[in-house]
Amino acid sequence: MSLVVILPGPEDLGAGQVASAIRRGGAEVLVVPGPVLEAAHWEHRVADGQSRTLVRLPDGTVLDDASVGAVLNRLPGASVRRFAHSPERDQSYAAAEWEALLLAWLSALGERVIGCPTPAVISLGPSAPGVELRWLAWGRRCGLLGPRALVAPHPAWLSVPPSSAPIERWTVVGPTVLRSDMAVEEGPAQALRSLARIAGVDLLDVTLRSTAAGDEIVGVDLRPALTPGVAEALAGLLLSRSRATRKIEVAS
Amino acid sequence: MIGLLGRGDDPCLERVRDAAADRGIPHVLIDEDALSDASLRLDLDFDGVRGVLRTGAGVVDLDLLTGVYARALGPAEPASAAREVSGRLHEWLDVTEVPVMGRPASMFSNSSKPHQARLIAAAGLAVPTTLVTNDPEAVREFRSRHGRVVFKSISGIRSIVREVDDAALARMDRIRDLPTQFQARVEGTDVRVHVVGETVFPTRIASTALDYRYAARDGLACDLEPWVLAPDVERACVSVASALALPLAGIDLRVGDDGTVTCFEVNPMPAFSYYESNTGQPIAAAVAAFLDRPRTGVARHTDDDESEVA
Repeated sequence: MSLVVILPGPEDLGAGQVASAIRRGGAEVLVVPGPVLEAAHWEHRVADGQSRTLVRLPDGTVLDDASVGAVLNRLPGASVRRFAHSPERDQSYAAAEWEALLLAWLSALGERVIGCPTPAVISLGPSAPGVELRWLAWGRRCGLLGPRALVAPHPAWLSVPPSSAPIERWTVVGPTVLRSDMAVEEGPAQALRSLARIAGVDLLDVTLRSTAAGDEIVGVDLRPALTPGVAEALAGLLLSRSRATRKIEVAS
Repeated sequence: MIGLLGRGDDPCLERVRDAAADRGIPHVLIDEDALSDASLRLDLDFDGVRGVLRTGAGVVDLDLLTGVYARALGPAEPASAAREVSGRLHEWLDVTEVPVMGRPASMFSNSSKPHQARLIAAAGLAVPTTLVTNDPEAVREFRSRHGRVVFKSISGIRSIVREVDDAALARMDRIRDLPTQFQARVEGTDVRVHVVGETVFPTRIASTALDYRYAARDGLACDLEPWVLAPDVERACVSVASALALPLAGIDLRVGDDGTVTCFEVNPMPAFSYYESNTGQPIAAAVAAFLDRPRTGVARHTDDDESEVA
């Protein structure tokens, strides 16, 4: 079975749980924090229209396109620690360059990557702050309610009456939808799967308010906490992606 | 009616506005530098997002526009209120059903040149042999294999293309801290191709500069003239723009003496005014015509033929 690589965010305490679950599933797993990735030797080549990446980590471990079966990317951006004492402009440039290289690597791995930036969701950046227009628009297409109007420059959405209706966090992990860290099928599960599909993401945390009219989107987070349930579901998804990669390699 | 969204003094925006006026195409300019008294209302429904922009100068029902040409750079000197209206307008550009040239999300591919190169190649244009690395030894090997090699930024941040000469090679240890993009130098003539829908405007650039954009700075000449590409290359350019979801694109090609065509990158927000002013190619008119395609309804605003909202 191919290697599963986890690129944890700085505060991803649950990354170890994902790694443990993957190991229990019988796969080899490697956790590579951002600063370690930036200390690696990189060669990303494009020749005859095909790209190929080789990353040699400081401990000598080599990641290449053939050995990587799946990747979980949780990096919020480049750390650029080597530029900590550089002018802010240089730090920004260095971060943009590193993130451009990471995008080239991850996007070339295609379906193997969970958390690859896309035009719709640039997940290498910070988590989505609150609810942006695109999420509300996509949510409406999936039957999820939300504020009905916004007037700028006023900061608040209109038509959101004060409500004591309960608020719950739901997490989409590929085909699995979790509520209170437990896989569920009822309620808005199907709508949330559709929302993730429209956004082109495999991992999505949505806060919903349950009202008599339906479920309203209150918040969206593209890097939800790796709770035990989320970690278990993610491990399953990464293992299946890794096995699919292996099948393609064997077939070819 | 077509919408023109950006800074009012943007040369490209001005050219499309003038082209629309010359052709009697109703249009409205939404000047991001004059939104301090503007308000924007966005209504969400199950069939989409509707927007109405109000300023002291008029009202625009955004969803009744037939199309929008956007150079969404935001206000040059933003007051907070103008910045927020502008930001919400940019969000609307990404979700509206109205055809838009210059959706903010469509700028994404340009944030990583090697990522974009892979997409360009998949869509049918050859790209340069490339190495992105932080290993000086890999660069030396790459240079010994390819002879002349240039280097440039990896991201969308503009950089001046320079050749890896002996002096640059002597400084190569610097890349250990930050990967850099190296490419086998491609000989030939630069051709910038503007794609507007399925129409192409190739411009040949004659210059001895390595990076013609900076020819004047280096005291070198740069002459532009309309050019003709082989039909299959034109089709490939349209395919690349389509694959990147760009109804308007600026594609940088180099054509070798043997006719070999290599694509360096695709600019999702091309500043075509420079090329149009030097060649007379009717790019702005093509943009206006592309956006002036029938949709249901007519935008409401203050004047019949031209309005400057804000």
